[in-house]
Amino acid sequence: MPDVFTATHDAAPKDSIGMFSTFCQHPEGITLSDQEKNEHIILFLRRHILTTLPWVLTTILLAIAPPLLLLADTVVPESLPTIPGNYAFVLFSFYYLVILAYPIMSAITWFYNIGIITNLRVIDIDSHNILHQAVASTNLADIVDSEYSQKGIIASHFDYGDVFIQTEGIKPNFEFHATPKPAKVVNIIGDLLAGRVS
Amino acid sequence: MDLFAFFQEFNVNLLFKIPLLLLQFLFFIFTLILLNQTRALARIIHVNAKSASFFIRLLVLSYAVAVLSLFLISLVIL
Repeated sequence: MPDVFTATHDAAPKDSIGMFSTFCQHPEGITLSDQEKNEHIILFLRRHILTTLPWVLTTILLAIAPPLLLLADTVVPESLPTIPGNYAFVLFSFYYLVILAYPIMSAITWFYNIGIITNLRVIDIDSHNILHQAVASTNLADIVDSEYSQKGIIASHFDYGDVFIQTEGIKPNFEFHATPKPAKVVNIIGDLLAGRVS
Repeated sequence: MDLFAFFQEFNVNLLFKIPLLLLQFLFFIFTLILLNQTRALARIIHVNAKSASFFIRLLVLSYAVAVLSLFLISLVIL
């Protein structure tokens, strides 16, 4: 009996990835360096946007600190040591460049901390800091189990959590931290393992 | 060599100038590492220009240029 409906990759609705995309099903405009011809990206994951809040707030605080100090100096005269103009300019500019490095570094770390699930494998790209990057990949056939956990009120309210993918034997397990819609991710992996998604 | 006389003649400005310039130079090397890391990550996974991959690389490049410019300006004005 012929199949009445077959779910294929082409039939699936495609999401285009934006700058702040954290959860994309069948994403468009993304390719892996070692992607095979018959390999389709099914799920693209990043950490939830809320996880960027600590470094955004820290940057704002550090950026407003010098104007506040200058303001304090006008309220209480001579509370700050006098620095020659050229030194003040260099120190001030250097301070802001150092401050700017922190959000840039954090943005890169967030941007390239990616989890990808294709029809053939699971890929975890981790960029912990500017000197450490790790890429791990495993075939779907090696996956034994997947589960998720949500810790805290904020995580459950904004629906993000950690997804754990257990693999066979001595192969490393995969962890996607602070992933949006973790239940859906686990569900999709389950469907892939059961062969319900192509 | 009379160390006492040497330190008397020593320009105190250099005590601030040299560490500051050294720090800026080290920071410039750090930005080059950052630039290289961004390139390396972009090689692993190619995300199209619309999704900020290009923007991030441009941002890091501009940042490296800014750090280098400040280093050169400091060399001149300090």
